[in-house]
Amino acid sequence: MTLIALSEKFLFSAAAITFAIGFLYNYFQLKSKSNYSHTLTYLFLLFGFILQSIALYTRALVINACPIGNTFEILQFILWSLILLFLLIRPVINIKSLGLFIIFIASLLSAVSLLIPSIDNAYIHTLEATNPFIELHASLAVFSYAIYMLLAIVSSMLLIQQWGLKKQRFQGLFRHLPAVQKLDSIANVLVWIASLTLFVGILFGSFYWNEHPETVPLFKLVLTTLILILYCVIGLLKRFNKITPQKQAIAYILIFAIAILSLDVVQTEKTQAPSQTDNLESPILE
Amino acid sequence: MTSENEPLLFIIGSSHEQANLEERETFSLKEDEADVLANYLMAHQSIEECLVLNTCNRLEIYAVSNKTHSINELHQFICSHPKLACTSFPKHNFTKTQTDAIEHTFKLSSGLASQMIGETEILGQMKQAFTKAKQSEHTGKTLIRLFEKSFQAGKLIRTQTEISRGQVSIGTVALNLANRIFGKLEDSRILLVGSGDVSEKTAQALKTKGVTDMTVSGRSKDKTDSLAEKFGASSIHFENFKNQIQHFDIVITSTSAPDFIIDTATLQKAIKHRPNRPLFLIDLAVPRDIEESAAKLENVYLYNLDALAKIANENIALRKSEIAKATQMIKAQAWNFWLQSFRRSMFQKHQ
Repeated sequence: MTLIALSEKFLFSAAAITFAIGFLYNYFQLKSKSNYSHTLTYLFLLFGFILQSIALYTRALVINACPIGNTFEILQFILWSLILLFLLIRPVINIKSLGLFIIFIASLLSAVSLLIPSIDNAYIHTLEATNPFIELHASLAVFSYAIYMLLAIVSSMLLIQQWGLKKQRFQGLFRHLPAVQKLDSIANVLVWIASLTLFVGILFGSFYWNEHPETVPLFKLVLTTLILILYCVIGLLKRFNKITPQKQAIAYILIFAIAILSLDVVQTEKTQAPSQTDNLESPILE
Repeated sequence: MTSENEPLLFIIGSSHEQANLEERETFSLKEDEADVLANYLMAHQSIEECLVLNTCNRLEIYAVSNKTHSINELHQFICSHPKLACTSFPKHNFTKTQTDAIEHTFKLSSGLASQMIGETEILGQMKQAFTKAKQSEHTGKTLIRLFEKSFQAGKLIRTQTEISRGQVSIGTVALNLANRIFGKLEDSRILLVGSGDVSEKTAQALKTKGVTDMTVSGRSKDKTDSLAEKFGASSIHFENFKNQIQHFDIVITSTSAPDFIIDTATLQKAIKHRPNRPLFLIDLAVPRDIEESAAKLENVYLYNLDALAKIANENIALRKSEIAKATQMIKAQAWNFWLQSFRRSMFQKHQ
């Protein structure tokens, strides 16, 4: 293992530790004082994000491509996109408590991705990162998953807020959650932004597949399209008042869980069926 | 320190401390029923003075006995009243005598025994009950002195401690909850069912929070119209309001109806018309106006008086030291009052 690879692992771990410290510190503050610092959460996220960015850059140098080749890299990249998204949209959506949820997810996913070494399996990057359509497709697909993750977080916040209101809980975290209606409105917007991003990602991928039909990863394509359709169906049902915000939130969390859990299956399927695609970079989420 | 010719001051009552909302509903008396109870008590040969304090949170009987009957016999007599016998009152009540009774009265007037500690409404309710008892000639020197002193004590404690500072009203709690559901309260449509005092106070609180879209509905058309006019609200017929619920985000009820005026089936129908908008129901009435099972409906949030008071009192920790200070003051005041009464009775005995 080269020094650069070692430093990259160290940086990923340092980012995970930063997220974990940030989350635990705020969690105990919230438990003891019923309050926590939003600014400190933001700073922990920002510092962890910088470390994670350097780690991903270092990994990119090692593999000489965008680091989205295995489940570990995809998880890290989705997480990185999620934090970037949060840092960018935070002033617009103005939900301070979102930072606490993001830092919790960041700690959890970073820990999971680092504690399961098998998901960071070696892979051969046979296709040079030269095809712009594939690169754009992969970036957009990963970014759409980050938006879907944000949607799942907002949906969880909505369910927690609803539960708190039903069970008449008002202290601790419940004090900091935004209004149910606000979370619902944000979820309604996010689903379409994410779906549009994923659709455009698939569209760019199709330009490449049109020229190289033998490279189409059928299982991945079907699964991703299915996920996109599911999100759109739920979004439309909500649009036409056919489901309640609670059912919508549960559906979004479930679909995202399926999408994330299927990542590893998709990666395994890819490594088990090398055949013609072995010499090409797999398009979806890569 | 008791003397034999000294009358027995006692209180038999029940409040939120002994009975929950469901139990309190069973012995919630109408004004005329409370009057009947007072007359019933005065008919007892042992009772010389009596006052019935009947509010949405408590039913308390203040009385002075000539000791021909024991407190247990009096307790039984009160609990066997036709309006109380079949309720939760005989099961969930308290009895306080002499100094304990004085201390309780002082505590009550200063808001320390209220469901929302430090509230001032109880003082008005006590004054009202006292005036009524005085007019009916049910009070004598003991109760007159007790209540007059308790009003002084209540004022003194409120001015010398911070017990009422930062007081969270039911209206404020309800509005904070509405903010947690809808975010901007200014955009919410509010329906007030009932046109009494509670509705008026709620309307006032809503108005100060910037609510503009308010509708009032009540059984008395004149009262409803005047309330609507006062707060720039619109009014709808009481018979029609159930069909209109789906058009409102927040429904606040405070009628004196003995049974539910809004049932779960009505709300189920209303929520079907607005799957995207939650419905926030605030039931300020005792007995309750909205069927409890409505709380189980998806997208419906139902809060009654007990729930709102619980939330309001969650902030009470901040005023704990003030409560301790006020309690000490009450003890001193009650003891002084008792000593004065004892001296008077001794003086009268030796005259």
